[in-house]
Amino acid sequence: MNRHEALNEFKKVLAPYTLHKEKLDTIGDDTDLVKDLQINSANLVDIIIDAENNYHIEIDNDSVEKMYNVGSCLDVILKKINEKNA
Amino acid sequence: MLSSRRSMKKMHSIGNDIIDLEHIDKTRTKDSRFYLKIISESEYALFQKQNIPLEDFLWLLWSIKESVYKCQKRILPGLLFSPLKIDVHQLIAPNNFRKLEFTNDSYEQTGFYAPSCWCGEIYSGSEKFYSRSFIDPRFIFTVAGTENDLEDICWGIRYIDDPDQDHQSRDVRDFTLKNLQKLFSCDDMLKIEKNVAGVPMLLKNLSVMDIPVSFSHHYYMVSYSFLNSKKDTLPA
Repeated sequence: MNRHEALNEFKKVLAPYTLHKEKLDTIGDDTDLVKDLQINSANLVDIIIDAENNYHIEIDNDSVEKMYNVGSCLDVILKKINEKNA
Repeated sequence: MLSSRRSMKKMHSIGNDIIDLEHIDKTRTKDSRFYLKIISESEYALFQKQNIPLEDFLWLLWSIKESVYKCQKRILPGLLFSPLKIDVHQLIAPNNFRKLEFTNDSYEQTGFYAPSCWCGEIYSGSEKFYSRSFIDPRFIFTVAGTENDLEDICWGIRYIDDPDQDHQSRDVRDFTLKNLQKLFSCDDMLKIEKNVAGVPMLLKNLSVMDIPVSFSHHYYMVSYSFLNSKKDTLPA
């Protein structure tokens, strides 16, 4: 899975948690999940669990704290996919 | 998460958080994959000493940790929220719980009656924090600060009718400003804006005031808290 494919899949993960779904069309690495997509912080762990389910990966707690914007989430997700496939 | 080595001995800050319990996923909350990303094994041991449902305990700890994070972020703007690095090491259940009686969908108070609250002691790095929380059938609300009595904190909770975040933000600002204006007997010179780190700042005639303010919103609930250590005198 390349970064573009991972981003498209990640938009599906984020969709249930933002009331501003139109913003998902224009998200990029610097998009902040809370400030830009107005996702409530109480849903951040839901997003981690949904990402684990969608990409069939496990995200450890040290990685979780690095996931605050779209770019950092994709970095962790792609790293975990690569580790699984190695 | 950045280091919190910088001394906060005289930290002048607070944080608060509210959870709308009608909009949590109870099934997911009970999944260990979920809750072990929020609470540690030692915190889970605290749960086993309490007579409350796991979902209430988990969101209680979430609200405590989020409140401590907001309290710290005012001093350390680059801080990221890492729930497992904030350690709730003591939690005392209320022994004389009094339900908060709302008027016109709002409740406001100064300070806390400790026997009616969940009282927490928390460490984040080397810094110690204290919290007061309420578990109501509809919500969980927490305020955290660096002083154990938390008596100078004014706070409020309100039900709202529109969960859109723009509406939540406007409502919680109006709610907070009304209390500040009433408390300090001033009209419309006060304003609240967030700084670049996302921390709310109270402005009087566009100057930042030394009164830490914290907001929270979750679905149909909003809450505020501010530290009134000047005892009802608006700083010049």
